[in-house]
Amino acid sequence: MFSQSKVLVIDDDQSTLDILKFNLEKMGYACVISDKPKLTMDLAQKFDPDLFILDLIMPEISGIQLCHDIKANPLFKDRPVIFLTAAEQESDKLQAFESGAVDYIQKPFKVGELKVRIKNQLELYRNTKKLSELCNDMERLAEQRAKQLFHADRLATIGILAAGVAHEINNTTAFINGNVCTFDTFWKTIEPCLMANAGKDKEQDERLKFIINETPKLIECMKEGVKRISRIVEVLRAFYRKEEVAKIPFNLKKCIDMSLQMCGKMIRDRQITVKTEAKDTYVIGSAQQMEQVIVNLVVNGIDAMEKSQDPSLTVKLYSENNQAHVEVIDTGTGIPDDIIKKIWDPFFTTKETGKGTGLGLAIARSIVNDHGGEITVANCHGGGAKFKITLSLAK
Amino acid sequence: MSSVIVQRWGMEPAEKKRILDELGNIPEELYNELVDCFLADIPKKIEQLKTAIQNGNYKSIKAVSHGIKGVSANLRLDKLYELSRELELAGSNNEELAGIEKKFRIFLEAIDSFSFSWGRK
Repeated sequence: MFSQSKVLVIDDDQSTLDILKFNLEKMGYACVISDKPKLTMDLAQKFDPDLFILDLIMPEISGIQLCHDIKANPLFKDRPVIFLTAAEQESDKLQAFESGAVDYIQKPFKVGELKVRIKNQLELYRNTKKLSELCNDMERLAEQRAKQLFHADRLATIGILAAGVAHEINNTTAFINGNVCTFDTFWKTIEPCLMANAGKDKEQDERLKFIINETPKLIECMKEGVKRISRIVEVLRAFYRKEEVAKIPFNLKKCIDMSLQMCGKMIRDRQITVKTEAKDTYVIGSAQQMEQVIVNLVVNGIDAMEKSQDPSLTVKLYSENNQAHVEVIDTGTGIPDDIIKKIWDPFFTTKETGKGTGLGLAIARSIVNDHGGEITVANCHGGGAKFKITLSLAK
Repeated sequence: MSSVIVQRWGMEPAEKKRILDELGNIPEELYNELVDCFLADIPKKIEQLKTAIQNGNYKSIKAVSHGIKGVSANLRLDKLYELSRELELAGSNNEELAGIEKKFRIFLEAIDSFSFSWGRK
């Protein structure tokens, strides 16, 4: 529905004002009239008209001057000005258009024609305004996209670099790992020999005992460190590698269990109550990728409940109409209406700088789509958000 | 309502109806009020015109007759519109004052005749 258009009419002659007011109001416009040209800008400020109708020859200030004033004001420079005048010389008309008027109506005027001209100018103004708003939106969008592209490009470069670095690190880790394992076997031989040498010096014996005690722990620690490096490298490589979706039937319930297990520490640390309702349900695709999606949803849900009094996460898995549905429901803040459409955009994040990449949900959606399914979000009554994945059941 | 129209208007009721129509079907009362205002204001304008012609003040002749022209155009008082328009033109063309005075007198007669018929019971 259009909001009511507003017209300001300035004319020193009351008959024009009354006839116009009667007709404009009948057309459904709001109309303010004044026979005091000096008050034009004050009235404009108060009334904020969409269109001005000015007389040309008036005492005090001419309509031409008024039109110049209107066009010089940043608030009103785009509003159409129509002259309605008994002045009939070519030079008057020329001056009027040069001052920025969009139309010039000669008295005695025909009301029917006047109405159409006003209506046309208002429509033109409205459309121009809409167009310029759209134009601004597009510019904003282009700017945003350019930033995203720049970011994506940088990320792609990092990805390639990471893949290269990952390869190098993998080689190095391999021989560290090998040597640590070898040393572990060597240690079994070394340890008794060390003990055989004991009993000569009390201080040295203490020292030996300590070493014998600590070395297996050091070895374990090194093994653990190497394992962790390998895992990080694997993630980096997986990020860069675009894999084809595997087409293997897998159990979604297992995915959920694995995902919750992976987030176990987070769940315990934040004292989150987790409820699961799940039965064995088979779909086709990559269990590993689907796990990644569910972990993402669980972590997001946990993050959204950072300030919740009684944080609780529900994960449901059920099948209906030949489809499997996974729901991840939190009791957090919910998602504000103005950003709910943006959450799938790559690089959109509400988390603190450095905490989220803004890629999680974008990747989640692309994985689910690659599986021929869909992922949706909705706010729950009474707070919290519900993410829902729908996939076809394996036959 | 045609009887009221005959009482208030020197022209044919059909003519008045046409004018009200042309003005977007404005209420007759509003139209009557506007004509009354015009007639109440006109003696002042006539005085201004008279002085302007006496003093050969073309600028004022032009301005005052322009004002009268505007209102009579709005109210579709065609004869008054034509005559005030001629006065305005004569003023802007700096025509001879004798000629202007003659036009002014014709205008005065038209005003008299109109206000008589308008006020007729």
